[in-house]
Amino acid sequence: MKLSQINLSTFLRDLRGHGVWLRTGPFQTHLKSPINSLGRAIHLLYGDFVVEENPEFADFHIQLREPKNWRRFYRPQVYFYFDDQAPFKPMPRSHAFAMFEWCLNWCIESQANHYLMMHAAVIERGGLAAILAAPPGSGKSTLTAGLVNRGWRLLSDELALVDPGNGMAVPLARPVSLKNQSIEVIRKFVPNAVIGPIARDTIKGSVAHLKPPQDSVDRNREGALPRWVIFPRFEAGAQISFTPYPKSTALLRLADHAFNYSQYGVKGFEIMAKLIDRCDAYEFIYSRLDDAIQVFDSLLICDARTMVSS
Amino acid sequence: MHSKQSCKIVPDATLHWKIWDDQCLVFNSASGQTHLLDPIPALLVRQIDEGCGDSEELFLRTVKLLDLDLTSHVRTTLQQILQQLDALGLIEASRS
Repeated sequence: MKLSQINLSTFLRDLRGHGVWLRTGPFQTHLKSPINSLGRAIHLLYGDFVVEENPEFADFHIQLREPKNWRRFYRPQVYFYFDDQAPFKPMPRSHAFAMFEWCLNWCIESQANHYLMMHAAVIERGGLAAILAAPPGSGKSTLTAGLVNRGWRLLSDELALVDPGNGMAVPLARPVSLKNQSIEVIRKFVPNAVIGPIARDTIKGSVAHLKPPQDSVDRNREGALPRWVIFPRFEAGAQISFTPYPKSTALLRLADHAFNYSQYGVKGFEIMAKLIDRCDAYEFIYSRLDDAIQVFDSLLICDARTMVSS
Repeated sequence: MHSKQSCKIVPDATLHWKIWDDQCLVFNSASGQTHLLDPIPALLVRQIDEGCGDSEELFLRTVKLLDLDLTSHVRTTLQQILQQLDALGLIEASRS
């Protein structure tokens, strides 16, 4: 059953009570929280996701709840619990949804070592995936949000998961994290965008999340073969530039974005080398989303031409 | 008389190679580190990996492969590269 098929009040009651089991890509998360603002944001942004009733297994058991002290009334806070342990300091209650997203990322990064994981977005079109790797603040999520609202499928905004067995990028479509000016940029670029509550004054500034396209969520079990590795960077006023990047340096740069490359040892090197072998790598600088989308669409055309001529 | 060195791959390491165009990546299983090597350092490491441990023989084989003369400048450059490879933890170079 999709979450949007459950009415809001029932969902909030379940979230407060026995919890809800939310399926995101390969992961099942059991979430409990009495915080209604969090429940409303989840109901809004995860509406197309599948929820199950009492499945036998959950990868992550998490709770977000307020401390049982005076802080409930004065500048209320929220704690994140993973298996009943609180690994992080509390955050303001108004940041609850952002905290949920960050902490779910943390659960995956710290637990899902059966995938090679990178801090990167992944998008797909025509069965081919582009891995967009960049440090925070590079405009990666804005670019991803733009592309997935212009024909590309979202596999992931934050965490690229690569199956070590077959080298496929594994889908993990979830809300796209937008920061600061990007929130308004995407509101203008995607007039019907569904954007959740803005968490202000976080460590990353103002943060809001964009609801992922329904098609991306519906195809959350459909992997894609990486074909491009792209290192994007937003530069205000810059001329668009799309420069081929040496494969060897691309591997090192991508490994820098990986969470568990070193844990895999030589196997990590082999997986990464195979991935880079079959990909074209580029450094990409952009200042306008429309231009960026044209460039990405031309990738597919070039690829199709190469396939026809070979 | 040139000072000779004995070179070997660091103990317990297996090197894994990936070559694209003129750039070489090598993964050192002992350190878990991946290194990007230019062609000449890569050539030196590969020969050491294949068992060529004597620096004189290594230099002679290298200049032959590169079609160079073993001038004092080339020798100094190759010695410096060996030191750098030692510092990277890929080889162990010692006076013999």
